Amino acid sequence: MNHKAIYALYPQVVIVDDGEGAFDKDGNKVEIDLELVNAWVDPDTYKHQRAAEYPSFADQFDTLYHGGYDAWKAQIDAIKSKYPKP
Amino acid sequence: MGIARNIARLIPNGSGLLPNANIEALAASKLTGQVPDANAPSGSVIQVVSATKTDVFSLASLTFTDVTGLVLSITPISASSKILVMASVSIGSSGDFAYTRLTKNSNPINVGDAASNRPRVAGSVVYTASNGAYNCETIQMTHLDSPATTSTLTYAAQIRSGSSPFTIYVNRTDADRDTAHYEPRLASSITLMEIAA
Repeated sequence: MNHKAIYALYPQVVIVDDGEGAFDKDGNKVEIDLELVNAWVDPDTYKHQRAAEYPSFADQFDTLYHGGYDAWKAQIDAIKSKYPKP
Repeated sequence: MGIARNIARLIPNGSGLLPNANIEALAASKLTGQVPDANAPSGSVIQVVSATKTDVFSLASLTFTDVTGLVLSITPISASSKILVMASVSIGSSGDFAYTRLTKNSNPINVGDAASNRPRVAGSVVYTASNGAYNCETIQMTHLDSPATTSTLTYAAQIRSGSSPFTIYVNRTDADRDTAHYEPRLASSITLMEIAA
């Protein structure tokens, strides 16, 4: 179950359980349109994709030391361009 | 006649019960069967119930809320028994902090002392800027309760977010990327043991 999509699409929801469903703050069950939920695109996906590919801090400092600012920026820019912000 | 008379001396009044005073010695090897739970020696575990949650629960609230699947009831056999509550809750957060605690019949049982407005919790998970979205921490909670009742008791593990609007998760990370090596799916559990006093 895509919890993040449910919270984004149904602002009244405060609890989501894979087995029990979604509920509002008063414990009332909120009916979920799974087609809508499954079609939802996470606007933060690009952040996670970038984070997975950024070099470690140690490697970035190493690039800065050996290649300078331009080399470091080119490395980071390549990843940002690969996963553009929507 | 002699045997019948001897038996009558041992078990008087036709009660069918052998008085303690008539037992001179009894080898331990002669003791078989099961000691009734209510007569179990102090420290004996006389009852255990447990639940494990393997799917995902999430909450977007600052109010402590029961985690579905980590709510368990037990009816003590004796009012003098202790209840050992053990819970393991794996928590991920989308920001700030996440808190957890144990309750008995909806009342917190293992939290810090009151200190003005400060949240009273049993465990805390911090979201760090560098890897908070990809992290899930497992909080272990143990509490020895003395309920002094034989009425049914309900114990629960609860969670809440540290601040709005952050969503917190049980058994997954915030980012929850679908990779083979990172951001696992986890399991949480609660176990209740009745210990004879």
